[in-house]
Amino acid sequence: MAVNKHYMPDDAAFDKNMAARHTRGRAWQTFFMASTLLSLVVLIILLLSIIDQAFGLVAVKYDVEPEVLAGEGRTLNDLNSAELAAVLAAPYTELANNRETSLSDGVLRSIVLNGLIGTVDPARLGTDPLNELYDGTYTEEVGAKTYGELSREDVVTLLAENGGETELRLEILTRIANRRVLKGWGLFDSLLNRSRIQATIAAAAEADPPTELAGADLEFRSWITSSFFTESMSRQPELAGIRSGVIGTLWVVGITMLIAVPIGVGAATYLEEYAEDNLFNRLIEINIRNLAGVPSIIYGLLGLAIFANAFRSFTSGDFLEGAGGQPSSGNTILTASLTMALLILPYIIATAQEAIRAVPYAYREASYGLGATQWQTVSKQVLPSALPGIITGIILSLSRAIGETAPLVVVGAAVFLSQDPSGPFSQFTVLPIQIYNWIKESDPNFRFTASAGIIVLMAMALTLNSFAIILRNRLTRRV
Amino acid sequence: MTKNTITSETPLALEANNVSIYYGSKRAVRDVSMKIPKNKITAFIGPSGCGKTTMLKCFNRMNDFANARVDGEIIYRGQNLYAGNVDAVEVRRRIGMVFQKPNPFPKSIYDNVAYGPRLLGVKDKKTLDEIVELSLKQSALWDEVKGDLKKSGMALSGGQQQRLCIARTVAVEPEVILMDEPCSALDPIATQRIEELMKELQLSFTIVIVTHNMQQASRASDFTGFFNIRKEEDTVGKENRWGELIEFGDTQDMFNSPQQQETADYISGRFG
Repeated sequence: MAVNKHYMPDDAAFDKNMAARHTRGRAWQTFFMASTLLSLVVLIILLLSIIDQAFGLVAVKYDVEPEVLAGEGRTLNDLNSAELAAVLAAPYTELANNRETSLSDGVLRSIVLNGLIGTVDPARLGTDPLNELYDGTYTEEVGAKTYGELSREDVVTLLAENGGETELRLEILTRIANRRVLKGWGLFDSLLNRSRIQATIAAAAEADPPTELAGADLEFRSWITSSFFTESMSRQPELAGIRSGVIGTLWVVGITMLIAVPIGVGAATYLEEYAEDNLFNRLIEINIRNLAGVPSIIYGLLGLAIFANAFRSFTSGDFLEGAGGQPSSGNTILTASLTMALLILPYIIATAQEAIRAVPYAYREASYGLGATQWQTVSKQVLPSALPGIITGIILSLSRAIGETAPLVVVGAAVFLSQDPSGPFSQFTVLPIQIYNWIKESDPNFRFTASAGIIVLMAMALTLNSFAIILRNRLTRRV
Repeated sequence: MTKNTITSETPLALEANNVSIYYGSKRAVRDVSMKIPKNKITAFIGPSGCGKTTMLKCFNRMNDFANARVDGEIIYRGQNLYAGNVDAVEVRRRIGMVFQKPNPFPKSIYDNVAYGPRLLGVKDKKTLDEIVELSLKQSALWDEVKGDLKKSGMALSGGQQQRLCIARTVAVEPEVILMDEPCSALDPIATQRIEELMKELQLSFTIVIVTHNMQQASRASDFTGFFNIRKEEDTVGKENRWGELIEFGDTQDMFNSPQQQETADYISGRFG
């Protein structure tokens, strides 16, 4: 009979061993939980600090009090068109520097242009007399003048006779009275320290000499307003909007996806389903994987050299106009989209490959066994089964494309755009670049605009992602 | 029971002449010749690794995907399936296959069965309806699923799934159905149903089945081929293994009075 020898720990040794094993387990569990909590806290702090900057108290002040403009004991609402037109042309004194000034002839004429004549071919303004451009009440003498020949007095009479009171009042408020934000405070500061902020303004009035804040009104402001979406760029933070950035982002991301998705999914399908497993194809795959790790600024340099410069006549749209046209810039939406497509292509290919590889071999086998051709098997079994995974990859690249900034700075996103991007060959800016430019501005109030922009950017990314996720769920729910 | 014999008059579905199959430089099956009669059930038995599945997949060129090289001839309707001018897609539509693990597509029952006909260009809804109904009846699944053809094929039980796969194969009207251990993932009751089904299908199709289960072979088949492993050490002392066909003939004969000692050892359970 063999001796019954034990190797496993027993009794006290076992208890000790057991306790040690549990302790180790608990330590790791604590570590995992702590990392989750830490990320959560950081995320919340980030969100709060952005929200903090996007809302809060602001000190606002008119350059010229509207009551002063309206005259003794009256408000602008009491004035009729003729009086309002007179106010527009009259000299006024800016409160801040006590300097007497008035709107220039050119500005006054532009009020006529924007308010009365409306959109017209700029070339006609210099040549055609007013009576051919605009049908309103004016003397024959005025009607015979071209736009450029209109004098100050002509403008006043034109506006007095034809201008609407509401429009004229708005012109006075924005061009002369100009209610400006002098200083802003964060949301939490505003809620917790309101009295201290009020005291700051009161102190400004008593200082000798009174500082800029003296006499300012304190009001609560959300930096995300409806005009924030509809206005384009401005030098004044409270007037600046994100319209051109949003439009630019939608154009760039849209064209990027149109280019990158078919090419990416196509390449993945080829590599997984058709390509032979040889050294050459494996090299291609490894290179695609590595491209995903290349810093995005490099793609920007590539885009600048190839799309913006070498293929300038294509990316600027000059090829559409034929030879002899004025050469235009290659820093267009198309260049940005091509660059961005190049940037996200490796991601789309890699994720689509994973998704295609994950389709059970049994589906292919069954399909071939029924006499399907390779293309029938790929199109009816493999791609539909891989679709959710492919779309997940596309969603991730989409988020990346929305937030990417560096390569677009290099390919020449505009710092200041006076016109909205209107097509693939337009100059462009995108939301992240607009935010970046605001943060660089010397006026500290732009940081509020930047925060508001960040919130919009995040909302946009979330919305586009949700669309993609809903689409994915739709497509997978079939059976 | 009458004894099944193959004479020169017997109509043949498939014929293998000196078939050897290689994966790369490795030989998997050597020198197999056999005749598979029409409208009969032929079973391949043998231990694991004897090449019976490899041989089966050779009959409808499913081996192409595993980069197998086939020497010799597989004759179907007087045509060598491995001749250069033969399209493997056409072969697989004529010689269908049912796999070891039930593998319905992640689609509805209807779409599973209609998949093959649609591949061949059948679009008319009424024709498809008829094909689906007929195929499901042929595979003895109709009564269980006729109420809900929109249900996912994946939601059926294992046995039902396998019958759905048979219905799917039957729907493209093949002449031969190859079955690769179709019951290995099923319980005894589901297995019995498939065996009964095979007897019915035999009237319209030729069936070749690979099985690990010797009772199944003796119960359900008309002919049996026994494969075994051959080993050989090459000059550098590396062992090579391949499969060979040891014995082929009437099932009852083989189980009652095997001609070869190896066959007798295997079917009496002395190895394998």
